[in-house]
Amino acid sequence: MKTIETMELDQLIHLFEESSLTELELSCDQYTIKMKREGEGATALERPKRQAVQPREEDTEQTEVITSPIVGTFYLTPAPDAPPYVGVGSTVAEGDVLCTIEAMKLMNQLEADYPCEIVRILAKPEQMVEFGSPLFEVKRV
Amino acid sequence: MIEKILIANRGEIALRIVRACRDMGIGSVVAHSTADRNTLAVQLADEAVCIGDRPTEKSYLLSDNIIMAACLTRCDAIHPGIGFLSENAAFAQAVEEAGLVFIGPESKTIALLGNKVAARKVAIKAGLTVTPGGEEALVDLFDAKETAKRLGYPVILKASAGGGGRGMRIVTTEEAMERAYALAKKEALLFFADDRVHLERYIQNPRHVEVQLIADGQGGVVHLGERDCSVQKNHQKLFEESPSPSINDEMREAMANASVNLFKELGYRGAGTVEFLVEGGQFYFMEVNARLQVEHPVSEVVSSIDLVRTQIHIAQGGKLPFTQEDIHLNGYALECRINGLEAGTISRLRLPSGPQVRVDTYLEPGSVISPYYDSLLAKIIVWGRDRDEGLAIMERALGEVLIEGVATNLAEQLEILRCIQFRCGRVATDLYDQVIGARRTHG
Repeated sequence: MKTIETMELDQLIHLFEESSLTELELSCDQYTIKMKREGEGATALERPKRQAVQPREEDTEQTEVITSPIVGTFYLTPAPDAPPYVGVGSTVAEGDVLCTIEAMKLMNQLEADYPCEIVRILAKPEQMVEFGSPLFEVKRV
Repeated sequence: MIEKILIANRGEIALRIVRACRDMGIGSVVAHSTADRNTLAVQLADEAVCIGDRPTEKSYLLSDNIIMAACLTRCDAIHPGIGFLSENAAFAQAVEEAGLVFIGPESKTIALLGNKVAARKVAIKAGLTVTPGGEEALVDLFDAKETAKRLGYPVILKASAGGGGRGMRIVTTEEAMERAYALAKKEALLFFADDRVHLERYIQNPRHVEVQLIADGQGGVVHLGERDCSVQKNHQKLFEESPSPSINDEMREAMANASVNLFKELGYRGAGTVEFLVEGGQFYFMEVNARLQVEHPVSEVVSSIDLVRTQIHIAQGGKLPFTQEDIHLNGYALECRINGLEAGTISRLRLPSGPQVRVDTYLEPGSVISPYYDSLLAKIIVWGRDRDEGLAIMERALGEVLIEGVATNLAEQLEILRCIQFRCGRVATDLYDQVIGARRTHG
């Protein structure tokens, strides 16, 4: 049986195009998809999946990407009600905690290897990250 | 019920398990290293998770990452495949403790069988004959020399925690014992993190015959006949066939019964193999492989039983869906392993097909053969009504194979298949050296 989980994105788009619907929102455990006709905001897709990282052009030469060393769940805050370790624009020193990755019931704190400024946060909080998943785009300072 | 399985392996066996999942309507997640991101198993699985970098100790042997990947992708079970963590009792236990099903034997069974001295004791208790020696791990060099004298040279030093040809040393004279004993202990420590070794009488050029079993841990134990895996190079199997051309029906039955008795004694759950050395009219218990084996398709072909599917059925608590009486071994099956001899990229590929040919492989044009992993590229399995027919079909199949981009053992395999010793079924573990080694010497 075809379910939203097992269908490819292009299949979903195709089905939507074939239908008479003008708007469609579908949710499952893995992602939420919203489609709208007449080019009013095209397709939005959220999915905790590896993505090619495309740093903004002007920053290309100076930025680096920090990736996940383990498989786990990504958290930007030390506790649900605590403020995040870092945000876009924060500057951190070598050894400062950037995020925690929960694995095997342990909160593994990921520390900065060098002083840097956070340019972008690339992973979604509370989502799964795999080995090599991009977490932060940073600029060395 | 199992709804989604994480496959903690790579290559053709990962793909084999993905296929079984698909057949059963079960979801599949392949845990892979950075080097295997584009492999066929990853492409064909429902989902994939990158668990680490290329070296096996940074990916396929990282229990924590694997278990985490299974939890986060909401799998109910982990299939360890072959090699890597498949016979690691601590991993099996960690999987169970994480609330997941380990598709394989219970961790305590794996632990027991992983210790070769303990395994031999259970085999003796179940009434099997073991090679003389090896009752206990050796205490020291003096003990090694005394034991060897009692057994008679040549003897073989084996890592008590080992298996698979690693950490073994053949000793032909007492003078060579001191050095061999020290090296064997060192190797045992290196490969198996346990430096205990024991001594057995060394059987020169035996035949290697093994019995495939599947058991449900609830009293049901069924064997699927034997496989003859005598054609080997450095203890690595090259061809496997069933039935064995070198044993008679009397030994065949005795071997199967002994194996069933051993699995009953162990209260074994899952698929497993009992390996024997055959010399003259006697067969000696060697070890139990507490997992699926590379050559399992040979038994699948003659028995029409899907072993991976049955493993999954048993892992979810099911009883064996068949009894020994339901098993009718039919005809003859032969498997040929195609191994890569170097790393590289597959530029051209033609694989055989046609009547009675099965190919288990992860190759496709553009596949990158990584130097980090096992050299197995493809398994070609054929069926014939009898051995002669099977050998002819294998010759046809191997003749169709074209692999360009990396060197393989294809030409050597064809040479072995065509040699008179193999044709006659008069095969012992030294066949490779006789056929290929002799040719090299004579230029």
